[in-house]
Amino acid sequence: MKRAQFQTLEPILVIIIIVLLAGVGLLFFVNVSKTSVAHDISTLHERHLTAALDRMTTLPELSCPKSETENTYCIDLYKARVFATQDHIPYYALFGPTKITLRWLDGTAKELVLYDALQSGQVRAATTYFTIYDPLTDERLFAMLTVQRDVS
Amino acid sequence: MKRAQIEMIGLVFIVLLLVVGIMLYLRFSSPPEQNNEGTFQGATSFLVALKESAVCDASFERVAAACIEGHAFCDSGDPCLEAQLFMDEITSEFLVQHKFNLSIERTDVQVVVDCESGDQRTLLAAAPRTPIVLSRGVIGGNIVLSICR
Amino acid sequence: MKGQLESSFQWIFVLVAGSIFLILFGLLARGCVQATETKTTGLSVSTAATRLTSLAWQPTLTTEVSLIGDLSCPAGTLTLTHDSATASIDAPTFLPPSLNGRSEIETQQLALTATPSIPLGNVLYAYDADTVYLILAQGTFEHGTVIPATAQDTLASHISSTTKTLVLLTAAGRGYIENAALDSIPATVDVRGVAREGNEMIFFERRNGIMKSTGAIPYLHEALAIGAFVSADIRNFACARAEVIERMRALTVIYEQRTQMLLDRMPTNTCTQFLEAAQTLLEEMNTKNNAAYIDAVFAPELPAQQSALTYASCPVIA
Repeated sequence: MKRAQFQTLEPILVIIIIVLLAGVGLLFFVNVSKTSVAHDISTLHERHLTAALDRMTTLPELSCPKSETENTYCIDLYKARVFATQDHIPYYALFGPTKITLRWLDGTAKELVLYDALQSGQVRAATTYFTIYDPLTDERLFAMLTVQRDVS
Repeated sequence: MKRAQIEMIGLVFIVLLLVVGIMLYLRFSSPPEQNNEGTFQGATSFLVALKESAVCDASFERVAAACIEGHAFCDSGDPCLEAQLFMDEITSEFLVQHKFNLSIERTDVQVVVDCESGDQRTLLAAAPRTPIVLSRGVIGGNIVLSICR
Repeated sequence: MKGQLESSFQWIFVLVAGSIFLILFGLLARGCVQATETKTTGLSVSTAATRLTSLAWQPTLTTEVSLIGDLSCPAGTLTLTHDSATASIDAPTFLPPSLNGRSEIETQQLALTATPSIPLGNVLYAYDADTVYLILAQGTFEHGTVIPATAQDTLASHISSTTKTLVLLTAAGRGYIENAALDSIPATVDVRGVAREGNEMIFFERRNGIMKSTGAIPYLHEALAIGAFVSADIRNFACARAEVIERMRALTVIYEQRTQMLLDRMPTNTCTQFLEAAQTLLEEMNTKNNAAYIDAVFAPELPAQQSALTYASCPVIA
């Protein structure tokens, strides 16, 4: 009797096991896809931020005098100080909802927020290193530019 | 008997599939690795900026070249010391979140944070280098920044 | 009876198992779609980022500028690019002009300047490889005379019925309708262009032999007029020019405040007099109206101060 019952249930058990295996397989596939997508998005955000940094160093509002840009781009320290105090609305189309901070070493570490249109939420940041030019001392100072962007 | 053996093999096969599936899941559901492209670009720009920065009224590259060549330079007369101090200052302010090894080849000037040279080959996230041009115009060595995982 | 019951039980189990499978599959498929949507959003970010690396400046998308009558700027149509792959003949803009330099125009074609760093002053414009640009001038044209208005054979040889042609007439003549050069273009060819007549820039088009003006705008300066070649659409040109002037003003304000900051912090030396002269020039310039402001930007005084500062190894203006 039991054997007969077992034989009756056998095809059902086979189907259940196949369903479970297929389900497990699909679960793995979706999780792998999600991980891969998350990685791609991370790379894309990084590129977006790097593009914002590149734009910063070529803006005439911030760039060094032409004679200083023969080798690499740099930011003029005094232009940066003035730019930080200007109205940032006209630059929103260029930089978007980001916060751009300049840090440099001039004896001690100094910091200046060049642009801030960050809204509350999750942020992603990218950093680049370059030099800022002090026109009074005619020196290049080591500096770091950080862009934070809303990703939420 | 034969049928029972076949069925047993079938069950074992199913169990093996499940085990392999679980292993694949554990392997691929780990968090995404650190973005290597971003790390490398940051490290390269760091070296370029370092080379151009002012130290003792000259560029860091000039000071590093004097250190390699063994010439007296700067008020202290010791360009290697000045280079070391500057590298210490820069890295302590701007590389706090990384494990790295920053060094000037052919000198003892080096800053290391959890990134010994012996383990670098398997642990590097980025290792750009930038040449130092000596006073006579030839390349005397490199400044190397190894970012470790 | 028992057999039937057993058979029913079998089917119930099959249905239950099948339903579980379908629900599971549906949930997982939904997860896949959500992941793909997130990736697509990320890709569009990437596309924007790639394009933005070639942009020097993009005017605000919601700008409303009243210029002539009820002229207002279209939202989202003004872009600045010097990446020839994305150049649009219908929506060009240009950058403010430089203190020390002029853009070059090649005859018969308007070329892009492809420098990644765009100093204050390069006049940039997008051009369409399928369009011929003709600058017709009687006398000299600052950037080089292109095709003399009387050389009708030459003109006709550059026009074909299948090529879109934009024409700028700089001669202040009797009116563009009577311009002999334009008459030399076959009547079967549609022409769009801009004519400068005195202090006005007249946008016109000739379709099926009939001339029509599409609007007029005050002429401010030759460097800013060059963008009209490429736009050939009065609204785009007017809006772009207004944005450019606004940004030029923002720039010269930064220069003025920077110069003042330098003067406040530096000890009095040989550089002081040059910087003070530059500061005065910038201060005066920034208080002027648009036409006078543009003239002041292109006047030689400011570049002369820049040169003097450079020669004396002093901190420069820009």
